[in-house]
Amino acid sequence: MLTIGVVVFPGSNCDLDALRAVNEVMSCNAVPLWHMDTNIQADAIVLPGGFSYGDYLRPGAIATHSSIMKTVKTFAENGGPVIGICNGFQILTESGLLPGTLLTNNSTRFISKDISLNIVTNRTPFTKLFKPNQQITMPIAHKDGNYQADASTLASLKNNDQIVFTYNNNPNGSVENIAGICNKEGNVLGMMPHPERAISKWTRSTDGTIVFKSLLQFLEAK
Amino acid sequence: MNLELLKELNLNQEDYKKIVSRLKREPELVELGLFSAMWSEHCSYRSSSKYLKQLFTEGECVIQGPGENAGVIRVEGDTYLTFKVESHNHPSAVEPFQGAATGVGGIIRDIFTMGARPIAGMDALHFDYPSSSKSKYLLNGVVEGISFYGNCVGVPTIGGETHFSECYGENPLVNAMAIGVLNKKDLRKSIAKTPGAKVIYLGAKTGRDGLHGASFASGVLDEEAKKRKGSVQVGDPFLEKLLIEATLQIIKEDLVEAIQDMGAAGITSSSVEMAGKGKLGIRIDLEKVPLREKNIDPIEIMLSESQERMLLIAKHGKEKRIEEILTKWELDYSEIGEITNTGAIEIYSGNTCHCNMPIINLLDPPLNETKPVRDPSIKITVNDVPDTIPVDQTKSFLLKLLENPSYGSKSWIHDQYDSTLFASTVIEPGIGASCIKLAGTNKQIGITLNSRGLLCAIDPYEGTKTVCAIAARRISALGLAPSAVTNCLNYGDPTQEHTIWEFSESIRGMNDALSVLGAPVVSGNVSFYNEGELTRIFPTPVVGMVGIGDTSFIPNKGFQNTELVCAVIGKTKKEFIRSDSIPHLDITLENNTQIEVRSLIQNKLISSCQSVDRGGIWFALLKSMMVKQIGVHIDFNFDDFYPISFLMSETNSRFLITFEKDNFERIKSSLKTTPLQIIGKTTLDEFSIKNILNIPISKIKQAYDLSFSKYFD
Repeated sequence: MLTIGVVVFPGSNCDLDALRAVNEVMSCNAVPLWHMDTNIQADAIVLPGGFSYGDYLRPGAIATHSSIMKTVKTFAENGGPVIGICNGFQILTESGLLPGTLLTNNSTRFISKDISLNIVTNRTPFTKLFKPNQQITMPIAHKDGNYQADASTLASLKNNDQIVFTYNNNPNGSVENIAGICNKEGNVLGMMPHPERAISKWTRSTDGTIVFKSLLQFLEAK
Repeated sequence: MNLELLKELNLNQEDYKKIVSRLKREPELVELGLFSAMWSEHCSYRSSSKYLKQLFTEGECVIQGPGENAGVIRVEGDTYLTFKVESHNHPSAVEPFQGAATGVGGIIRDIFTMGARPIAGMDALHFDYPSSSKSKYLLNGVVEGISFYGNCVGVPTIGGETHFSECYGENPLVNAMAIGVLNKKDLRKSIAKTPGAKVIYLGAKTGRDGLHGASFASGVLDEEAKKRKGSVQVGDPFLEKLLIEATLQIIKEDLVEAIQDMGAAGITSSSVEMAGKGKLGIRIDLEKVPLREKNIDPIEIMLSESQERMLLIAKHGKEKRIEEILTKWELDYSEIGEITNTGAIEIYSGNTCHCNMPIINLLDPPLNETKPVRDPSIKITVNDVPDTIPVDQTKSFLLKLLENPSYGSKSWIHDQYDSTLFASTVIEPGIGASCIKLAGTNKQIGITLNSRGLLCAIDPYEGTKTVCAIAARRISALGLAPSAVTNCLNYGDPTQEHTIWEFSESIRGMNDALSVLGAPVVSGNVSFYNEGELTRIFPTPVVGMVGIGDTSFIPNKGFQNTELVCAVIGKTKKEFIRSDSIPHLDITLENNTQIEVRSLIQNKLISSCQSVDRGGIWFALLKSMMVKQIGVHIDFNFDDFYPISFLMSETNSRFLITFEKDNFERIKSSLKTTPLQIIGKTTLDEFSIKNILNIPISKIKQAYDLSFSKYFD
């Protein structure tokens, strides 16, 4: 059976939702991975949202230096699928697994709402089952989701088909309306919206299920 | 006795005489500090306990009524729900960000202390109008504080209420509610059981912050009190998140016999309450208490209200496993004492004794015997009763009303709160009552936090009854039956006869409403002394109501589609809030109407349902239109009503519904106790009244979104 690891840092708070989404949508073995662990036995890794170590320095900055992130780096460099959601995305940019950075929203306030997204590419393990230009809805909930990168990084993101999700109504000031990007290889995805909160008819949108179903299909085909 | 010291400790000379007579000697300084904390209004309910005893608290679903950290009800089988609302008014008035943040932290601790995982929060906010720059400053800080703490600690804030009135200008109200879910076997109480059991201190180090917080909350908020900024605590939501996880693991592994958070009056109240409830004693060594700075006096340690601290009483032999868990979560802890069989509270620093007296001395404080007597000179004036607005002013009246922040969208507030964490939020903030699906069960929970200070100021008995009825109406509009209530009772100075009159009338009104609605009170909090130098607040009982239902249907908010029949359930009368009276409430009719409406929703006969309450049919229509920006065309005979008086009437026991016209006969025949009045149909893009007016939805939406947020952006 496939095993999906969900990393738990002190201060993670979307870990339970991610574990539940893996269980309910993928019917896979969902295991929490403690931040002190150095050995990962999993087919894919989720870095969930929350406030790792309180995010008191800068979102994601302290988590980057945790024991498990060294292992996650190796896992990603070997082609393992890694998805960072919200705080997970911030950790991925802080640790250099993804380019660019996430600044404070241009309103300077936390923003929690449902938001409409555009699928730019479906080439990642997490977006296979979307159609390009498909319009989807997911909630966002963050204070630091304003994606920024310098001109050459942006050019390379575009040239290498690394922009995965864009906002239809930019909520936070992100450059090029970017809501999610992947690395060149496509196996590492970071996104501010929360697919794990959009998996049931009870929560207005079920578009998040497609992220988890895509990953399942990708892993089963491997 | 030093009068200055007594004043600083918020004790009066009568109290002091009582203390000496109980001890049969002069108290030591630390002992006096203990009395000050335990006899404060906040901890002892000395003005309210007589009336609180009369509250309606019995119900089939009740597992734990008032008296614990939070009330507990059964959802189904071994699944329990625990919830409570608590005030943090004075701290928020002095330092809005930290005041509100620590209010959220405190109420969440009450929930996980019971062994429950906190799953949702709500906040009731009462301020002066945002056009006042001071109010704007306070509101901005309070919302930011709730957002900072709630989002980081990982508890979704799923709703609440915001009211404006000048009477809250000097003394705003910030009441925070939290809800948690637990399994029967994990329910823990704050009762010590075994002499010899070790007392473990857990969490943040003790500092000087929050000194005299309990007595700070128990006096009028004058200039001198505001200087006590040191009385406001500082919150660390990350530390609280670690406490949640560690505490829940410790409880799950059954390692403690009792547990209590250190809230108001810190170590004092938590140790006295746990030992006192178990009719046992406790011995504490202050040298073992983790301190943030050196040279903190014993009395300061005992009274500190530093946040994010817990006191555990370990089960024998489980101390090592507790340490392992706390080490995993990198939390500070220390064994600071043990439970004894002496019935005394003994406080030492090493071998130096600061206090050794029977705990019973601290219980049963001298009661406030102020009589409940109405002061006829206190009058409320209501201007602008909308009962005579001529037809040709209908449109201009509504456009003007749309600019009023009281009726505007509060998304500027709730968009700052993470409301979708735990992927269970069915109905989000902004519609009157919110709803969550309870993971792992076939149940959904409706939650609402409600008050109407103005109604209670005009008539505290009828007003409080109406507040309870409205809370239940909002729960029923989700299709869910009210189950139980928590309350936060915000009033003025309890040494005034009029305040006690307001309070006692409110309690009577609450009982008369809740006993008919079948929703007992299971927890709550009283906040007196909500007065500034010039103003006293409206008596403001805030009712937090929870309703439980199965998952055979999903409640809807707002108009879902065009071409639906729009109708009002219940007869509209020319009833308004006036200086001397409020709309009549027949609580039996209210209850019967609610039962019938719930069954319409459960049987999926209607498309949307909205409680008609504050702002009448107009505000119900407005909220319903704004969800998906679907309009409505009003087309019926107003008879002897002006359109505005029909739209703004606040007659009780009414709902606004929409439905497919094919369902009309079935709906009509299901309503046995109350009439159904069709008023129009939903339309694509405008609000219109036949032959009178039409306003584009886009224009309404713009005004609705800006009327409150324009003060901040």
